[in-house]
Amino acid sequence: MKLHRIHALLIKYFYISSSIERMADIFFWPLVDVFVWGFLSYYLSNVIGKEIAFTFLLGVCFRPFELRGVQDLPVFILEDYWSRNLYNVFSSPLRISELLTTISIISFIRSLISFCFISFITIWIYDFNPIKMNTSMLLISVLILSVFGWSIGMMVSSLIIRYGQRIQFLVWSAFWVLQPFSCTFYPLKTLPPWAQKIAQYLPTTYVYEGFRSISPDISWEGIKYAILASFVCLAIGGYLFVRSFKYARKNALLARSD
Amino acid sequence: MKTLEVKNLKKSFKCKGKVIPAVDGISFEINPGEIFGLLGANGAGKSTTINILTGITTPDSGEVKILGKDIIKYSEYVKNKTNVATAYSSLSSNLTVYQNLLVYARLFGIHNAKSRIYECLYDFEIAEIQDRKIDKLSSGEKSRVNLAKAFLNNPVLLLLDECTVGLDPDIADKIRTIIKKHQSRNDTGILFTSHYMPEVEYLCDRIAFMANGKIICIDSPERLIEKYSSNLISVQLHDDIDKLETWLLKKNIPILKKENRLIQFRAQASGISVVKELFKANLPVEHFEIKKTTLEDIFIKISRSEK
Repeated sequence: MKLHRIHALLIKYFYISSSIERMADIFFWPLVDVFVWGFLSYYLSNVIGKEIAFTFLLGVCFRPFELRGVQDLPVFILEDYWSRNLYNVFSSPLRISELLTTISIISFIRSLISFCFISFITIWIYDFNPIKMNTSMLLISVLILSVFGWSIGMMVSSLIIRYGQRIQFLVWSAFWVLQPFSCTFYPLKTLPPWAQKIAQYLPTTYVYEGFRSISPDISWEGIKYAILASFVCLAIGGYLFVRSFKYARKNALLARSD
Repeated sequence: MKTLEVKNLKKSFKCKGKVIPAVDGISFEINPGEIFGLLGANGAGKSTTINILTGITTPDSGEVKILGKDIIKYSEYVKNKTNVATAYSSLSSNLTVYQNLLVYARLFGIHNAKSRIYECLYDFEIAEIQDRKIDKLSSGEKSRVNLAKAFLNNPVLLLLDECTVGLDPDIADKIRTIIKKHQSRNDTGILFTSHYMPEVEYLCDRIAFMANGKIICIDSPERLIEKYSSNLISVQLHDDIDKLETWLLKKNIPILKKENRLIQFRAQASGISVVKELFKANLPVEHFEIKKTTLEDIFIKISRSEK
């Protein structure tokens, strides 16, 4: 990996991130989320108590780490498809590892900006501070959500590279397909048994379950599994990405921008 | 050392269960400072060849070396020394011209990136549009930005795939001058494809004609014209048209058209020498016209014969 190439891509994605569409990802949609879930939590706090009601807002606040991870890699690759720039990018000395590293960095920065923005809004409007929790739990949650998000992003990107733009709907739907099983807004036991089995495999479930755990005793067994599972998913995602890239090179798919 | 060596390069694609050879065992080389034209009809295999040279597509077999280094084994080294401009790709539409060039300058690890970017901006007369986003440019401006990007790293091997498409004649002429200037200044080997034959004739030192994934012939434009030359000669006589007919029959030259006092025929030899012979034979020539064979005629001839 060469630093000057990572620097080059950081410049590129910084410029792309400053476009209105990409700004909306980190400010507008999270704001809409905060209003919807915030007022719902506010209303429910009178019925079920503030602590339980505001776990919804915790989900909303931390969701960008997973969402940006899932969407940013395929969206930034799609940006090159839409611009017909794929040819120039991959005929340059750029390596796949440099591309993945840079997008992960920029995606994390975007998630962090989004998180800070949402946190500011929730403190200001709802008097709810999402970072008022165990620091190690906070850092581990961010790690698991980000790493799992990147792994799903890599899997979706590998499908886009393999099948082209016609399956770009996956970029926007992958996160929402996983969301019901991630138990972002409700406890695991709410799900029917078959869905619980799926949810138990997802590392994100343990993070959101941890948020809801009112007692300070966090299930570290679950968290340990979540860390391991998210890194296993990352390895699978990376493998699939490299494989589809090789397939694309063999079949001249990168030369076409369709 | 050769700038580019291609040996027995093969690439085929599967389409509906059939294996279709796109590049079928081609071999050629490009010397430093040489402009090498790769010509052929659509689907002849030119773009696949260029895609393999840029590393965008992997070959099935064969050997490709740039500056003596294998393009797969030394991919990073080779890509740093190569660049490409193709009519089929563009740059990031959300970025301005300058921002795009800055990104590529950094990707290629160019020192003094800013001054090099400005050199290219002025060379291609796009300095005044440097702050405009790519999606706001005309197709001609986009082509020039593409070319500026291709020249950024002073490549040893430059691949130009129909890069002058969409340019007005004035700009296209300026681009050709820049290509020539760059070639002589930097000893850059250039692989050039275009469907505009006068441009190929003007720029290229050697030309390879491709058809069905194979190279049919390689030579300089002049020698190719000489080799495939068959001048179209129209002769109008005062009278006695039969005399000319007999003369042509004797020389084994078939008549293409016969109309009143006008006869049209094709001669393999130089047109002037044939006309000289007509005068020597005391034929009553009133008027004659020689249409020289152009590269375009050869292109059409080869393309049709290979179909």
